Amino acid sequence: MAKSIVAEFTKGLWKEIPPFRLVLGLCPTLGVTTSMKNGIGMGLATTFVLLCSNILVSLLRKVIPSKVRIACFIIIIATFVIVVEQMMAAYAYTLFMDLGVFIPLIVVNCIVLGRAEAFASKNGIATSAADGLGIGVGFTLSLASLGAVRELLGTGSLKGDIFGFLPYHFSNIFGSSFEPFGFAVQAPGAFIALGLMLCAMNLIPSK
Amino acid sequence: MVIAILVMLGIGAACGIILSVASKVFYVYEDPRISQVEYFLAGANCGGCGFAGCGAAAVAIVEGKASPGICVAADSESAINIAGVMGVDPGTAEPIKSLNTCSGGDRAVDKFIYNGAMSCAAMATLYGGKRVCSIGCMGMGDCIKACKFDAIHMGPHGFPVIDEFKCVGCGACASVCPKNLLSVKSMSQRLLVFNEEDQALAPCQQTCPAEIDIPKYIHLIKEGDYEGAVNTIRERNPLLLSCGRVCPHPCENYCRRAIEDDEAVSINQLKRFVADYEMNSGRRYPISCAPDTDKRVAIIGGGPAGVSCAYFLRRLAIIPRFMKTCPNWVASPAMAFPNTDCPTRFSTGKSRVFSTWGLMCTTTPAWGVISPFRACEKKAMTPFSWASVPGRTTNWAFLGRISRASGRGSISCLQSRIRRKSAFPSANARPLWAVGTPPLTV
Amino acid sequence: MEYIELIVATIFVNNILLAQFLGNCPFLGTSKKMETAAGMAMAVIFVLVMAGVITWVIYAWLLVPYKLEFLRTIAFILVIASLVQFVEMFLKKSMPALYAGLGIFLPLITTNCAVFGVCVLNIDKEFGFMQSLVASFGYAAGFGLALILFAGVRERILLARVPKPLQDTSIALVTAGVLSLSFYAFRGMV
Repeated sequence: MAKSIVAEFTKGLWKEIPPFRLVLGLCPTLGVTTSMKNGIGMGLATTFVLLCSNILVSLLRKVIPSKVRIACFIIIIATFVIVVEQMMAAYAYTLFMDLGVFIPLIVVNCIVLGRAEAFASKNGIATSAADGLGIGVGFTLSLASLGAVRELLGTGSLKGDIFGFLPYHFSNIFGSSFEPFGFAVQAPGAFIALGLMLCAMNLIPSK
Repeated sequence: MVIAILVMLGIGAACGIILSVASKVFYVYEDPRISQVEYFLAGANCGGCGFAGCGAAAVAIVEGKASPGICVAADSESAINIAGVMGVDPGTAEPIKSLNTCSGGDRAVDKFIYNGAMSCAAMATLYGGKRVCSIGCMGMGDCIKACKFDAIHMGPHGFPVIDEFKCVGCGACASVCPKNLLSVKSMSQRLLVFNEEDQALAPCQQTCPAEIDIPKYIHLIKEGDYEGAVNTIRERNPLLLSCGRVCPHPCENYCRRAIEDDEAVSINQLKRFVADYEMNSGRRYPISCAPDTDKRVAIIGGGPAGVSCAYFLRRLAIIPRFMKTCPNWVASPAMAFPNTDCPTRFSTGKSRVFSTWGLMCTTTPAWGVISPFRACEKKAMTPFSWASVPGRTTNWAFLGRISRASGRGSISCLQSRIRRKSAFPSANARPLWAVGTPPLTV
Repeated sequence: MEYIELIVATIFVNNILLAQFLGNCPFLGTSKKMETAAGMAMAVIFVLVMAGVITWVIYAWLLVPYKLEFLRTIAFILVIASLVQFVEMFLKKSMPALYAGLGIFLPLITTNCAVFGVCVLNIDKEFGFMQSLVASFGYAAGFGLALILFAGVRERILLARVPKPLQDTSIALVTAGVLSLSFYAFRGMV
């Protein structure tokens, strides 16, 4: 049992890491990753919703009638999204403003609904929680790395903090002669950076 | 707090009421079985069944206009489920797959630069396409776009490649190809087709008595797909291990590379190589067979011809049974080709293949009454007459009867072919096929 | 004039797929074939205009008076889901021909973030009723335009020789980036 919980957790970190291996949830991936800070913030917010909704769906999986299960899952997810929205508005207001419309959009993020439907509605609480946490952490890592790549190329430096904690600041990583590649933090850069990162992931065999 | 709950309840209730009223107002009567049947169909809306989408097919099944097994995309289990809904017998059908016969692609040079619409249909209207080859694939990929199952991809050499695992044989690709290169056929339909002399095939393939698709298997070997190469050869010739050693390879005499200024490709050595590869790998690559029928055939003699005969009959879903005197199970290579370096492991390897097919062999002395002439001579038994055995027939009579009964040309084509070419190994035939109308088993 | 400006802004300058990054899952999923892309585009225009108007009404006339703005997310998603279901039933009964064309795309729209996103954007930008209506249509038309353009490009990619690691989603994303770059040129127009 313990082993399978660990396995459910770790599969989200590499084997089924969204959005690279599991091509879902592209909107926030493309929309918010202008900096590493935003990527991490979005990832953590999604992780919270994933974890909570997975646990609640798993708890209620025997109660919810299968005909209206999708509607019920969406309501459960929407509830936790509102919780996250209000919490971020209260404690991380600048991040909340940066992420803007993408916070309420977690409701329609296919990763969250997909895990509720495909996993939590069929498995126990502990494994569902591990699955939600694993996928969420994987998603956070992906967003953070994509954000870091785009921020580095676009501004030449990395700076920010994680929800007001752990401030980091690396400026002029490529040296002072580096001319920031502004394209990378603009809209077209998001698509191309994600496409090329996906290509890099494909070069590594999945086993 | 209270207002929040009330508003949410209000919205929820309003939505619920509107939807439930709407479901009454906009109610369309449907036979409840239609949705059940549609649930089991593949849902790809491919049209391979001949109806416009899965919904139409479900209606047709419920109305009794179609059989439960018409869905080409779904597996046999879904046919059984649908039959369960309808309360009828599912019936079985052999899976059909698409095949692209053109492997020219980029090898044909272009006669002009084409800048028109990216579709084969459009290109074909302009001087029959941009490539100098007017009968081959144009490589614009109409078939790829037509495939709903992601089973066709543009290959590296400018012609489409079909993924047989994904292909469901819906025929969408065949119907859009303006050059009619793709065809959707079942395995047994393919097995019974022989090359016509006016077909524009590669010289090696046209010369090969067994009509193996030589360009294809050499290409697969080049790509490192040895399993695919083995199966390509085995499609036409089950004895690739021995043929790789003893075949006089007329194909190499006609190889274009020999006629030009180079040497011929060592086609036969390549066959031997993949055959040895399969044997040494310890694995036996499966090959498709038609669904079982209740027909039975007895085969006398387990030499190369008998083995080939059993092989092809088994793939056509007629269960053969060997009658032979040699106690060594399928000793063909060692006996038939004594002076080659045939590995002794061959016969055991082969026997494993054959036993997985459910072929049975009888080496009982009781058979001696009928079969080996030598036994008759030694023991001075009553001279044995072939004609006196009830239900016995020779291969020629058997084939003729089938071709007359089926009314189709394929078997007679096979028959005349064997006569004309005395092809190795399927012909050269001493009388060894026997069929009994009451099954002739011992 | 104001509305024309709004339409140009929503279709080209702030194109929902290529500049706002909303609705990218169906953008990649349904753009493999032109036929599917066109069907999806029509279905989104149909639903999005209705959803934009209805959610605006709910927000302005129900949530704001009772100071329940925080319930926006859950109320909107509920309304959109019911709306899609309702439209599906309505079409099946009264316009079977249209249903045959759009039917299979309608369930996909419930979880299409473009629909939900536009409803939220209308509120965030403090649009009035008419503005919401026009903006919803503009965004939906922009979605359709980008989707159909992209499907046309992808049909060509199908025939190109793409290096193995770049195949499928990867090359599609890079192509979308190039398409996005061309829409980027509209920036500053309005």
